Amino acid sequence: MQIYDLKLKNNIILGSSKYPSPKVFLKCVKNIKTEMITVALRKIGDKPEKFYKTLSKTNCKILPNTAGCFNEKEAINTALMCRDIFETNFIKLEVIENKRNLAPSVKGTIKASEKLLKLGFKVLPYATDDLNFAKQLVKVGCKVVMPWGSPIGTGQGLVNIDKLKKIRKSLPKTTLIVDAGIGKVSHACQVIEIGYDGILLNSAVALSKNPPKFAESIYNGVSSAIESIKAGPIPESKKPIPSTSFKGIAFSK
Amino acid sequence: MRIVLNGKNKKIGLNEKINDLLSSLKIKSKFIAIAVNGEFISKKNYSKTILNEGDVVEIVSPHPGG
Repeated sequence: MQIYDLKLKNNIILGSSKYPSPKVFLKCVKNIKTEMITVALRKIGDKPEKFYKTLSKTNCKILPNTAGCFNEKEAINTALMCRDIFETNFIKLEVIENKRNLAPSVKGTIKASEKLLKLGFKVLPYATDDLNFAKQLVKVGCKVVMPWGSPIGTGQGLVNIDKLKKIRKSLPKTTLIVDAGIGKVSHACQVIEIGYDGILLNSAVALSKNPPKFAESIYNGVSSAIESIKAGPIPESKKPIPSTSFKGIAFSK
Repeated sequence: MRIVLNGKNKKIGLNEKINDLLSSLKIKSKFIAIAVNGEFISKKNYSKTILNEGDVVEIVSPHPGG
């Protein structure tokens, strides 16, 4: 999966939140074989190094986020603070408009993307499944767009799969990652099967009953989906096509 | 002089800089970032930035996130 100038072998980006313990989180990172982990910034606690030390054990690239930002200014300043700490230009841009369903702000995300790209950031914007929104993000220079499958943390999967397919068809050169809404292995497989480049997930793994096992299942499922695409699935047909020939059927005249 | 540090009132000395604030808070970690009144302040400016009465200072560090 191509993230600006970075080529990742694995198609899964994993969030670092809500795990039962750092130990379980590290097991999940290992089992899902991710190379990139999302992290956030929050008001300083007693031991600021503690979480960073856990992160450094993963040997993964860090993708800081701007989660919790409700306007362009907050997002830009949070991105600058992320860069100051993590020394990376990658930023998962979240500018939330609707606190109820955590939907991104179209205007705020586009404006912030444009400014952050000019400041040298490699922006991975969280978006909806709206085609025009995705197109505008590409127009301002985003090489990666991350439409939601369904609202964050709902685990509903790809509720508007046709809209996601339209984005893929219209933006063939853009790296597309479904961010948010994944709940089951089948959802992650669908993302690959509709031609997307990758999946970003967190709650689905972290809040499952057995996170390391679930992480392993996601990896296996996604790997199988990738291999099956390489093997060339049949094209979809609107008309039924019998798999057994009618030729030579008994009782036929 | 009074500032608002991470949402709580705090008294600091006159003409105190960000560096001085970090020293008084015994924060030595490099895994922090700071904004004053919503504007990011880079580490190289900690020794130059003087805090003023009523400034809203946010000190953040890495946290789990999705």
